[in-house]
Amino acid sequence: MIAFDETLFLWINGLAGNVAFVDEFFKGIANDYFFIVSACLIMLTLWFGTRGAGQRERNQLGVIGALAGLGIAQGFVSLTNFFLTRPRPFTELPTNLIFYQPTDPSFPANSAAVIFAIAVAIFLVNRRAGAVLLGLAILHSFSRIYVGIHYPLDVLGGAAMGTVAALLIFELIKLLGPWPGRLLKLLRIFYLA
Amino acid sequence: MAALALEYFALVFAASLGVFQAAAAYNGLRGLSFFNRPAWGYLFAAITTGPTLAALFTWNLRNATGIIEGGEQFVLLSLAVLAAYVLTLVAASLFNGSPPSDTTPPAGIEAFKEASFFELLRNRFGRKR
Repeated sequence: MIAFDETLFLWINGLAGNVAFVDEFFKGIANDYFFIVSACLIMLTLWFGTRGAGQRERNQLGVIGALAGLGIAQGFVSLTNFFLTRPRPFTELPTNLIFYQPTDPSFPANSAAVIFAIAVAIFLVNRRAGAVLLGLAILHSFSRIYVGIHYPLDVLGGAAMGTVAALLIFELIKLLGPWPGRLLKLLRIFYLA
Repeated sequence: MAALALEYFALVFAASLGVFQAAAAYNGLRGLSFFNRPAWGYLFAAITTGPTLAALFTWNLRNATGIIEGGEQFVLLSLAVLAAYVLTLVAASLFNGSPPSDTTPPAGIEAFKEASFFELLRNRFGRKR
């Protein structure tokens, strides 16, 4: 499994360093800020820019779920890092490193956990916006392997943790019954929802 | 590090302002709009959000060293969005003010279809006519 992971990493990362334009594209996608801010702007659009009241409430619950899922996913990552510290690929293998060198453990990919938690939570309430976010999440995850800072298994692990976190939070929202709706009502008093 | 944080805050703030204007234009939320015509709202959104995303995409080209940690990023992002919302509420109230009406507006952001934030505050806390 680990050997296959390393072989796949070397193949994907081996694509880097050949075409400058493609390298710059993946460096842009892989950076820590572009996807998070893009996802935040999409969530703001869903929160304020939905026309129908019913769909808007669903979208707003999705955004609340995404934010909560993000927190849970971060918890999963911290817990895993407490027991398991996998070194970054550029410290172990001959890597075409075209990005800065992160110092935290390689497994699971923190950014994949966060972006998949957001994307899956939004997908559960709004297929179109969710599909856009999932597409970006997959591209971002691939780019982290391409630039040489994660193994494929790292991003798969992160994606799985983010997905589980989002699904868990929606089960919790169902269990909470009317309470999430009451939270939105409270926010409406302050013209926030 | 402070320069990075300031740059990040400014970019998120500008992009959020643009999203609020696009949402206001699309949804007819007069109380959140800086402009009377939706087209200007969309144009404003394109001018602010497009370059901001481009600047974030090319972040590592401009800032080869130094990163903003996840927790700090979350705080900066939340503050920038909140600041953009407050500025939107205040500026839209100043640009799009109108005489207060006697009708009770709907709850939440739906109220911005009929009134600005200052009008809503006047309606809620001010002296009734």
